Amino acid sequence: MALEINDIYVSTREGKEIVKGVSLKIKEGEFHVIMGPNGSGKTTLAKAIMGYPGLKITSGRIMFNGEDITALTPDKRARLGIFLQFQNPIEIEGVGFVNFLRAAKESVSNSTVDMKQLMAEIKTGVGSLSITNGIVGRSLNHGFSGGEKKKAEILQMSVLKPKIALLDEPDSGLDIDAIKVVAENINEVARKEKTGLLVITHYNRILTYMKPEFVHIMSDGRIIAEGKHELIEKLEKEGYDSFLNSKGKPNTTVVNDGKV
Amino acid sequence: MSIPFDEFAKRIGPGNDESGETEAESLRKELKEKLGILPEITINGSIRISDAAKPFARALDVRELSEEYLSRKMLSSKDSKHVAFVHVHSKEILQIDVPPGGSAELNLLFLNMEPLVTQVLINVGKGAKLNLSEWYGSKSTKRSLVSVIHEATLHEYSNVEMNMVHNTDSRTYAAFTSRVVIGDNAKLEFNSIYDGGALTKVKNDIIAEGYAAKSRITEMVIGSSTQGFDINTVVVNANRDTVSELESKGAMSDGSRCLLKGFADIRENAPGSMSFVHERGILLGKEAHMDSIPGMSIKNSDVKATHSSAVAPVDEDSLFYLMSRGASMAEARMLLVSGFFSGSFAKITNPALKEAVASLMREKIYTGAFGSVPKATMSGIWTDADPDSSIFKGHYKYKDE
Repeated sequence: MALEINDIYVSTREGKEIVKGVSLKIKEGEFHVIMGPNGSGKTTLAKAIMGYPGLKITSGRIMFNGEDITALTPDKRARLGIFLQFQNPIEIEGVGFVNFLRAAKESVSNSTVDMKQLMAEIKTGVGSLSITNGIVGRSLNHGFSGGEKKKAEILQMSVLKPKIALLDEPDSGLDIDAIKVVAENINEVARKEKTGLLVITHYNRILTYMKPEFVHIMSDGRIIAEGKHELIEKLEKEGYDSFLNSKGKPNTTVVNDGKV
Repeated sequence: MSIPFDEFAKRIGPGNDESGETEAESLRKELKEKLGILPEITINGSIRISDAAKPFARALDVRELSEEYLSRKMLSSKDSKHVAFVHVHSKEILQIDVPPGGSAELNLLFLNMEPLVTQVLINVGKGAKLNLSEWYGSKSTKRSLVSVIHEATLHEYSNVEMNMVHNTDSRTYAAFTSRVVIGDNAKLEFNSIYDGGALTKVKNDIIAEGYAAKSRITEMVIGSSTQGFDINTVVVNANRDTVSELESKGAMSDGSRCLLKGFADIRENAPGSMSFVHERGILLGKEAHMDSIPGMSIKNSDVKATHSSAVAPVDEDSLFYLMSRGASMAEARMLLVSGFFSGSFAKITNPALKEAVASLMREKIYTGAFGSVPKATMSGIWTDADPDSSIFKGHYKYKDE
């Protein structure tokens, strides 16, 4: 089970190139993290992997289990087991969260959902994620606080049990306790389902509760450094400037545990 | 002059014409089997009054009723060309009379195998309740017409829910004029679903005439292919402490087009009143078109009144979000449209009708088809919105009240 991104270039509909040749391979149960300054193309990369129609992959391929999925629509990618946690989840008034989740579960599992079991899963998730205002009876993300939206995304992930999860800033907007709760829940799903994780984050805090095996630093649409946890420590101490030369271009690519 | 409904119902039904009766009965059967709705009365364009009903045919003659119209300030031929047309050409009048304190629930099927031109008079007595559902269907083999006038008087403390489902076929042109006068402390829920027909033209006047009279009008338009809808509704606050809420929504696909014109008329003698005109539209196709024109005339300063309007293409990010969870494009559109209409659905209290309307919408969004009777299903349709919530609550001006 693996998601492979082979040297992809991604442009907006207007033709602006955002991702400029990124390659990644995420295997079952692996934990990757992408860090990078604002505007470096992290979210665009995640959306392109999920098949956002407003983006165009101008070169390169996305493979899932050896199959080329570059041209697949988002729903087909979801049915293969790819999940995207949105940085800013969309609010949809009138569509009940539980009914939506049932429809989503039926789509990705291609089977009828046992509502009793689903409700039990939701109840467990709500408790585990400390969602105080509940989810049942509310519209999808409508009127949710920032924290509730993030937690609701992780709840969806735990119910849908994806093979590969792309988590776009699961920690932004969360308080200290909530970051820990969310991290623990992600860990739990990944452990149980052997989900391959690609987490996009700006901050080290969530990573104190999670142990990424692979760290990628992204800048200006490219991965400029790759390594292990030590790379995060270097980043924490020296900032992104340490990976860039005086002209703002990346230094020599860092490999092997963050050592040049 | 007024005919009790029960007595009238025994004497009216499918026409004597053999083919007509077959078509009417087949649609009744479809509605019963697929949607669970059993129309008590079928009215079709070729209706014949049987011998036993002849006295009623005379009693209900439009010319004999015209004096009553005037005394009740109802529609006259001067009101519009459509009204004049119906007065001249209607073959029968259906009069529904709920006595004071009475309660009635009634399902009507209007079938235009031939052009249907008719009038429906509704009189709801003091403290009476009426739940009226009308289904407009057709089995026409050539270009046809449905042309109907509704005239309703709601006396004090009465409570009425009127639901109209327009699901005629693509050969049918429809024209409707309705006028409802609401008395002291009486309440009206008026829900219209426009799904079928080649071209539908509507003019509604809903008048809160009595003290503290309330009206809540909900219009749902679901268009496809080259359908056209011209919906023109005026809500009037004509007495103190009256409330009028008009909510019109449209979801247009293919090359369909819709004009929504809602107008609130708050008169000088209506202090303490509230009025809201709310129009929303989603465009599901590049060729679809919708104009929404809310308007107001306010002649008293001690009122709460506001209007809003928005029409936009279906949100690409919302579609992506839903598709990223496994919904196909059609399913995602369905989810968005059902969410868009969910608050409107919630106002229909008849469960079978709610399910029927949901099925029509599902059929429309998935296939663009209309005019037939789909199998009932609520799958993917939700009515989560609180039916008792006021649309004032959602308006920034009145959020804290």
